[in-house]
Amino acid sequence: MRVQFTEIELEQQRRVKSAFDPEWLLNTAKVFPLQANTPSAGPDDLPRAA
Amino acid sequence: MIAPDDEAGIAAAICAAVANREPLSVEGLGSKSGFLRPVQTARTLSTCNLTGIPLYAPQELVVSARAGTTLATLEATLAEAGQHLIAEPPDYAFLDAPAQTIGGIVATNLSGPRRIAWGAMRDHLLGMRAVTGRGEVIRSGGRVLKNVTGLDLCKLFAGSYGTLGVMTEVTLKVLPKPEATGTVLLWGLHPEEAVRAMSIALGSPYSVSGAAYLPQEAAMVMGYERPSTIVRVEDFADSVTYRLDRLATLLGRFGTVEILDTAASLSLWRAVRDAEPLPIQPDDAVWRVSVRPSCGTSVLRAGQSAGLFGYLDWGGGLVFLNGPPTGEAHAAVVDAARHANGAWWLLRAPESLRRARDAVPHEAAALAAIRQRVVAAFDPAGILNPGRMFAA
Repeated sequence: MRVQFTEIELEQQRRVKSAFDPEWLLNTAKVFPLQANTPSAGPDDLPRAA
Repeated sequence: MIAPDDEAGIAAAICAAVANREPLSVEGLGSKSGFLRPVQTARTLSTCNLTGIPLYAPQELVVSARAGTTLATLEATLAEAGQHLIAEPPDYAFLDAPAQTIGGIVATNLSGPRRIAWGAMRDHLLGMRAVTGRGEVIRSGGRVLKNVTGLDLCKLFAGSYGTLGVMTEVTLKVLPKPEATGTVLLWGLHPEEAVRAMSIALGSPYSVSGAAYLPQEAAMVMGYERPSTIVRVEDFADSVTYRLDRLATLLGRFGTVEILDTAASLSLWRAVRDAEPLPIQPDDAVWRVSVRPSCGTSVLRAGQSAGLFGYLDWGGGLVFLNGPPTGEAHAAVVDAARHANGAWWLLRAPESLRRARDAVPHEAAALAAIRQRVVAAFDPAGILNPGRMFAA
């Protein structure tokens, strides 16, 4: 995904995900890869990965 | 009016507006500024100078156009290769501008009679570029139907009325124009009979691509003396001839059947697409109501009881209504649409009515909350078309 989309675009998609699913409960890593070296895809109030 | 001639200019204008906390009205050529609620801002951001068609591959059935390209220009380009826009976007006769942009068509998700068979503008939006209310450029989708990576933001932007971002370029699937068009016409039916006839036609194996009903007044605007039920077929000439013949037999029990040839059909369906059958007065309001086809007649009759005129498209599922812009008339339309569990849009009315009343259906609390979060995700400062769809 990070080949196809810029970080700005990914962050925008994550915000849309948060709008529908604020706690990121549903299929958390299905669309967005949650790798240790990428920013957390969670809402701002959740801890971010290193 | 700010009218940049490139995407970077759009982004700069939005960044400046965010920094100055100065909301913007977003438009192309402003043809649909009368739709829904009025937007009151000091400045307007227009896409009208973002013109051109960067990609057109007829053999791949795909076209990309910058948002400010006029519908007429895009259609002329497609016509050179014998192709057209699948959703048949309308050019409403009551619009207050000579031209529309493709960005505006997509942003309002306007589709014509062919929608019942081939889908809406939204369904043919393969990809887009846009500048969000954060001033950031994003791309979504691509040039093919099966694009599965990431969230499909195109589906949100189609019909968002410029409240999420400013689309700068849209990529659309297109198809060859049909070789021939024909129409089966039935005279003098009541609305309920007409919907029954249209349902039979739409449920037949003959691939009907349009089904509309013009009551007496609408029929008279079109030069007909009696209510008219029309069913359209588009395809290769031999197939159209065969299918018209079969439809005429199928619908024979509803009375005398008339067949219209390609030329007559094209002009009739263009009029139906463009809301021309409405007997519209200069100060009239216009409503567009989308319901289950079986409920279209109840909305039409409710409108008629409130002194409105109208007609049915989409086999009864789309109701156009026009008449005096009174609160009572508006309430009658809203009640009938709510009763039918339908969606509706106030497409033309004096500012007083547009300001005082809902212009689209009232949202359930849960839906309103999601919508507000989605808008905040794209435009946290609320600078793009504030109050366009819902009162703040």
